[in-house]
Order: sequence, then C-alpha cells, then structure tokens
Amino acid sequence: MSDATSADWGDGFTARRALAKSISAIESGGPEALEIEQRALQQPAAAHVLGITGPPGAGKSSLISALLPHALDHYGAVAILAVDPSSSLTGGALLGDRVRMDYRHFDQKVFFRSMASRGYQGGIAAATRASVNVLDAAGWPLVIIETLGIGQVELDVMELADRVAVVLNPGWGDSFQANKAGLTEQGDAFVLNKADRPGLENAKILLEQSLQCLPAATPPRVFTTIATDDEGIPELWQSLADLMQEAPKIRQSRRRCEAVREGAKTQLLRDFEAFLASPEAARSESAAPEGAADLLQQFYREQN
Amino acid sequence: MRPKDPQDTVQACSDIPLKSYYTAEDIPDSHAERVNVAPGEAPYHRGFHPSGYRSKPWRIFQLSGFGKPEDENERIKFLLKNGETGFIMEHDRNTADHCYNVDHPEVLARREDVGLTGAVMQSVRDTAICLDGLPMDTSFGHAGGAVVQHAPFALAAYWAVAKKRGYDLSKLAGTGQSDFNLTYLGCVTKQQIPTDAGLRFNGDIIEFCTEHLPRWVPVSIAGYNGADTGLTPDQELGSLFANAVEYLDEIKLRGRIPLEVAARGCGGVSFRASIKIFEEACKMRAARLMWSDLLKQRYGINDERVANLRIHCVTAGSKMAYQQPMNNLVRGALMAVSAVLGGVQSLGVSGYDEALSIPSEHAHQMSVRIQQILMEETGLTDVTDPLGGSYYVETLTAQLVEKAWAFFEEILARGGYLACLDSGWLHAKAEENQHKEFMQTESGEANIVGVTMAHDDSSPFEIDGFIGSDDAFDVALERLKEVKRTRHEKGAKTALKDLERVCRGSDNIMPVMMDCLEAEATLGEVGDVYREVFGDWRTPIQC
Amino acid sequence: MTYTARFSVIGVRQFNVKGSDVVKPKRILMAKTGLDGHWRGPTIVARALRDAGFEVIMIGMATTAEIVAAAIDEDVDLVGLNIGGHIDVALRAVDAVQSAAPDMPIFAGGTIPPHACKQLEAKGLEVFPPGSMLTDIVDSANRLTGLSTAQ
Repeated sequence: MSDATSADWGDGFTARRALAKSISAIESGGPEALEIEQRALQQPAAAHVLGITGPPGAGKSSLISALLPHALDHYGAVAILAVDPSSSLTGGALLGDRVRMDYRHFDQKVFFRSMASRGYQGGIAAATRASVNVLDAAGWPLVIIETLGIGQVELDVMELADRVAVVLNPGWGDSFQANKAGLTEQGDAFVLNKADRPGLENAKILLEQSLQCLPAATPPRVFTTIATDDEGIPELWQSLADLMQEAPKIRQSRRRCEAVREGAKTQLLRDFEAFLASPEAARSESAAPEGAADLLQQFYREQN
Repeated sequence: MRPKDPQDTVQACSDIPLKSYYTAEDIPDSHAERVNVAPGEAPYHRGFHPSGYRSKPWRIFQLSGFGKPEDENERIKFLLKNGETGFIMEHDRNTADHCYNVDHPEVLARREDVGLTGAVMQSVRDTAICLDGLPMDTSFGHAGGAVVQHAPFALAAYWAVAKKRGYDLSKLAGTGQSDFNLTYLGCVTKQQIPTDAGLRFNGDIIEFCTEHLPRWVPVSIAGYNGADTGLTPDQELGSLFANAVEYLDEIKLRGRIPLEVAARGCGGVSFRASIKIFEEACKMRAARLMWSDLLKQRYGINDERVANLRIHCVTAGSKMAYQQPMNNLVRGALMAVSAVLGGVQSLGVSGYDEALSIPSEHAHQMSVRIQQILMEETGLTDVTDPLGGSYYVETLTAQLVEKAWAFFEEILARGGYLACLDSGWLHAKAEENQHKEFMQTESGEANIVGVTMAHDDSSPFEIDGFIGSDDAFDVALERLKEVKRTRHEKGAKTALKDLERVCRGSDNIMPVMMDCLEAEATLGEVGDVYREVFGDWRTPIQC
Repeated sequence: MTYTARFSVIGVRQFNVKGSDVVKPKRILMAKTGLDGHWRGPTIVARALRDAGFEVIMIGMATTAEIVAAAIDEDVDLVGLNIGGHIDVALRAVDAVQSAAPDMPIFAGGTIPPHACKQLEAKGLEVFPPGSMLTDIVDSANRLTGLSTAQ
C-alpha cells in the first residue's frame, strides 16, 4: 500500500498533498486506484456535487469563477475538477482552466484540479467519479465538475452530479442545437451566459419552449448571466443551492453504487487473471469458450 | 550558407513565394502604373515628400526608462545629449500596465521587479520628476501610456506637468500610443479593461486632442506589437488598418468631430522593422499606399495632408539573440536600413542586450550611433525611395498590399479587429506563425548565427543583463505614502468620484482625468475605478 | 512502447487489471513569475510539451504562493517557470516549491541573463535562456520526469 492509498486526507498542507497524490493514483488506474476509491466509500456520503457543462467557449470557467464566492459563503470550502481534452494523437493535453478562474484569493479553501480526459469519451475523465468520492471522503463539502466542452450527448456528468447546470450562449438560439444534442433533457438549470450578446431573447424563448416539452412537472429554469460582470450570478447561485439541497438521494447513491459495482467487476476480473495463471487454466487452452467458463465457475467454487 | 537546390522554394515571411530574379513582367498589372508615380504623389507608397530625408531626417527616438523617475530622467538626458531627437518615457510594467500602485498585492509579491522595465509614476509628482529639465515645448515627447487602460492617466499626467510649467497645450507635440496590440495581443496583462471600454478611451483621447492638442498624435497603432508576437508582415499591415477602421468608425458614429481630423490623428503609426530587408522596406511602402486607398475608398477622404501616414519604426526585439550579443549591433543596423529604405519618419533601434535585459547605457548609446552612422555616412538619405522601380521591390510591394487587404477583409468578416482580439483568433494566427518559425530553426531550415550555427563558446564579448536601480520599489512606496499624506484629500476623492461617474456615463473621460491628476489622485486609485466600473477583459489565451 | 499503445490502455473505461501496464502521462505546471505578459515563449514551449505527450497545466502569471498551491493540488511531476523579471522573484518561487515538495523538479526559461542562470543552476534547475531548442527542452522534461535516464 502506497502513501496515496493510506494517506490522511484531512486538514493541513501534508494532507492536501496526499489528497492530490491520491487523485493522481486514481488517474493512473490499476489496483491502487480501486483501493483508494473503496477506502473512500467507507465514509458516508456528505458532499454535494454540481456539474457545469456546455459547449466549448460558452464560459463555463468564467461562470464557476463568478459562482465561487457564493459557493464559499455557503459551503466554506469548494473543490473543483476541471476536465479538458487529451490529444488523441499524442496523449498530451493543455489544461488552461486555471487561467480563467479567479480562485486565487481563496487560498486554502479551494482545491483545484485540472484533469485531462485521457481518451475517455463522455465529457469527463475516467478518473472523475473516483476523484469525487475521494474528495467527498476527505471532507470537501462541495465538488464542482467542469466538463470539457461538449458537442453532442456526452453527459456522463449526469451520473456523478447531484445537479447539472447547462451553460449556453445567446448565439445558440440561431441554430438551436441544445435539443438535438440532448442537452435539454439533462440539465437541472440552464444558463444563458454572455447575455449581453445579440440574440438573447430569441434564445431564451426557444430554450424555454424546448424545456416545456419535457415530461417534468416543473421544467428547469433558464437564467441569464454575464459571468464576467457578475450579472445574474447571485440569483443563479441561490437557485442552484436550493436545487442541491433538494437533490434526489438517488443521484448521490448512484455514483457510489457505480463505484461499488466497478469494484466488484474489477475484483472478478482480477480473480480471472489469477485463474488464467493457475494450473487449472492450463487445461482450458484447447477448450471451447463454454468449456472455459465451466472451468472458471468450478475454479470459483473451489476458491470458496 | 548551404547552397539551395534550384527546385527548393524560397518564401518571404508573408508566405509569398520568391523567384530567383524579377523582370518587368512580374509586376502585377494593378501596380504597373503606380511604378511611374513620383514620391509626393498619390498613393504615396514612394513617400509623402519628394525631397525625403534631405529635407527631413528621421527622428531618432529610443524607448528608454527604468527605476525611479529620476533614473529615467537621467537616461533620457543622456540620450538627448548623444543625439536623440525626441524622447520616450517608459513606465514600469507592473504598475502602469495594470494601473496598480506599488502597494497592490500583485506588485508586492514581485517587488524586486518594480522599476525593471520603466520608471514608477504613480502620481503627477513622479511624472514631474521624470520630466524635469526635458524640452517638452520644443521636442516631440512620448508620454508613455502605450497600454490602452494606462493611456488616459499617462497623458493627463504629462499634460498636467506641461500646464503647470506654463506651456500652451495647443502647441504641444507628442504621442502616448495607447495601443491595443501591446497588451491585448502581445504582452497580455493580468488584468485590464475589456476592449469596448478601451475603444471608448481611445475615442475620447482622439476627441480631446482634436479640441485641445491639435499637434498631438492621440493614438498610435503599433503593428510592431503584433509583428513581434508573430504576425507576418502582411498580417501586421492588415490588422493595423483593421484597427484603424475601429477608431474611425467609432469617431464617425459619435459624429462630434470631423472625420478628416480624426483620420489625421490615426495616421501616426508604428511598425516593426525586422531582418528581411526587402520585405520590410516593401511593408513601409505598402502601408502608405494602403492608408491612402483606405481613406479614399472607405471614408471618401481625399485630403492629401490626411493621407500622409507617419511611420515610426522599431527594430525587431525578438530578432536580437542572447548568444554572442555583439552580433546584435549588426542586426540592429541592418534592420534600421530596412526601415530607412522604406522611408520611415522615426526610428528606434533595439539594444544589443535586448535578449538579456533593458538596454544598458552603452547599448542605448550604440542604438543612437547606428542611426547617426546611417544618417551621416552611408548616403542612404541622399535619394528618396531609392528602391522605387526595382522589379522585385515593386512586385513584392504589390503582393504585400494584396495579401494584407485579404487579411484585413478576413478580420472585418469576423466582426472586426477588436472581436478578433476577444475571440483569440489573432492570437492563434500569431502562435501558428511563431510555431512555424521555431520549427524552421529547429529543423535547420533557417539559421541564426551564433545560435544554431557559428557557435563560439570562447567569445570574449559575453555581457550580462543590465539592472537599473535597486531602490525603485522602496522609493515608490515612500512617495505613494507621501502623496496620500500631503495632497488635498477631499479634492482627490472628489475627482475620483467624478471619474467614476463619467466612466459610468458616456461623457469624455479626459477632462475629469486631468482633474484627477491635478488633484494628485494616484494610478492605483484610478485603476480601482476602472476595475469597479468596467470589470476585466476575458483573456482568450492561456499564458 | 509507442504512445498510442499506452494511451489505449488508459483510455478504456475499466481500470486496467494489470496496474503495472498503465503508464500515466506526466504532468507539468507552467507558470510565469513576473507580471509581464510575454506569452509567446511559454506558449510555444507548452505546445511542444503537449505534442511530446505531457499534460501541461497553465496558470499564467502567478505569485509564489499560487505556484506552490497549484503544484501541490495538481500533483505535477515537474514545474516550469517562465522568468522575465528580477531573479530574486524567481528564486523565491524556486525556494518555496523546493521546500513544499523537495522531490518536485523545476526547470526555467525566459529572458534570464547569465548571472541569473548561474543562480538558478546552483539550485539544481535546468535553465533555458532565449535561443534554446525545443527538442532540448522536451528532452529535459523527459529526463526530469523520469521518462528517460539519458544525460
């Protein structure tokens, strides 16, 4: 067991480094990643998780930056996971979300982690869920996930977050893509950011119309903001805070259930690896797949 | 030099393929009749005055300054004594560019940097020290304020000192630049007003100068800052005129002053003179031609006094190498030659220590000497537009004009120059070019003497960076406290309140800025008003 | 191993069961110590590092405290400092990173005069003044993050 798996994630500078190292270990994957997440799941869930998603350039980072002071007032401390794409060619990535974010005045009260998607499709990184669970266990009361700029339905953040805000710009009203992209079905709140741009009214009407068509009893609200000027931000925050309080418990348990399921699956796979290395497996080399499965089941029975 | 295969392509920086020689056949038809135009005739690519440098030598104009205002004052006097024929004030980047006082946390965190790249001038008292004994009334003065959000403060400080010394503002000649390329494209500040507020400032300065300082160049678009960030010569031209269109359209929209007057004000520009001698000379020729055509075609302005584009040129700082710095004396001289062949009105040569630090006294002196040698000894000033009629130069000039207009049109199609700053489109262009240039050097396709070849580890000419003064921060902090303690507090606070009111409205900012300076309001207090009223520009780049 | 090979391993949704196969892209923090906004150099370098397979976290102009906080939270394998001003400002950042994370290597680039290069080198940094080749910078990043042991 390495430092990352056994580390104390509580208060203090050393703890902070341990927490950061745990997230790195999760990003690297492997048994250690699993151990870390399983350990995190031993703590009861307490954190609220807010997803911020939307197309590239919609101003997600600026919006988070503007919401941050309010979030800190409310929760006392905030962790942010900001996901950017990895290059599919080289695996490298430029992670620039910190530059857009005015998080610096908050010093120790904000944990900010840039995360490359590392080939994972879905708007987040493969490591995002486990990182959220670890941050939760470490006592961070609010985790904000900024997805990479999505084009089509890549909304895995829905599986992780208690609430998701979808950020759009007035320009979207002209060739309305939100519906097509499946976004309208995903958000708990919609934000038309950069509201000083032309086309705001049109975009708002179109968006509200699409949201009326949803089966929900009360359609999600549409907010207009200019994140860079703080316009509309307090109202938006108030609403998000309320939504988070009322978030269905199912969402919280979902991200944990998935972690447990994945843990189990990995355990099974690991057993299978062990099986393949065992003398019993040698006998299966010439067997048909059904025969191999039989042998595996037999192997399990013998193990227990 | 590695001999080239005849099949190898050779290209100008502006992505124009070059032939191995040119004949009359190569000159595009659109340009053919312009070849026969004399200097002094429209469209002025051959120069505005037939007698050229014979009747009016270029202005020797060196960027200079560091440390305390008195350090900068001493350096400017040194340059004037050595033959400089105008003077430029340089403000400390940490404070001026950001409109911070030295006690701002961002500055405190880097206190040793204060004064490294210009003098700290937080109130009109500091500006007065810097200008002590300088010929404001007879010389062309650059008040600093190269940065858009800093310009109103720097200009008002300069003018307030001039007024106090009893000079007639209407006779004062100079500039303050206020250039978007500098901090929205080139050296992006940590914090600055959004571009629309910047456009308003520049419109206000143009209007204010028209009324009160007719001899002043109110804003000076600096292609230099685009070029040294990576824009190619054609892009430097295209973006510069797209920027001019922003100003002229704004003035036209306001409708308060004649467009001709504003256009005359916008006609003092600066370009980079880089190392490709012919392309750079062609760029200056192309610029004059384009300005004349732009005014005629877009604004219906035919007045030839307005069409007289005055070009200040600075040699490319980024072409100065760190290794074997004495080679830079040669580079500086050759880049200056390209500017002179292009017929510029004003020139600054980068110091040979440019890649290490701001210029030492000796580097500065050499920058002046280079210009004096070109002016006095070489015969470069004998004949106006000596390259005129060269098959190659005329062809390349015409090709540059064509490519530059295409870039100009593309910018306008993307919403205009400021929209292209906001979106990061221009930054992406610059970065792409820089990357390409790096790769050419990296692959050995292009060489830099002393850097990629002709290494010389035993060079006896190594120099170290110049460090101005070590007490700039301490003195600035002391003076800041002093001015706040001894000024008429109520007057300063009232002026700042007025500034805030005007910033929130639409009146011209300059009269109340003069009040602020005369009431000894400080730079950081003015910056606080901006930050409160205008917020922060959302920078499109990640560094 | 080619990058594509290890990338496909990381890219699969499940955690790879053979942990030893997983190669994690190395992470580099890029910061500017001064308030001058020359972005060309760091941008070109960041791009070269990304193209070499690094995850490059940009924080722009940052104070010493901000650099340390980012280096810790981001758990980077290497800190890159772009230095444009007085060397004492940069040295302060170097000291702070080295004391917070003694195992975290640092390299530096920018307009750094010879006397300042020597001071940085004395603190164990690799230094890249103007005129440095990108390939040398990438090699250094590989070496400092343990991807290659070549000297």
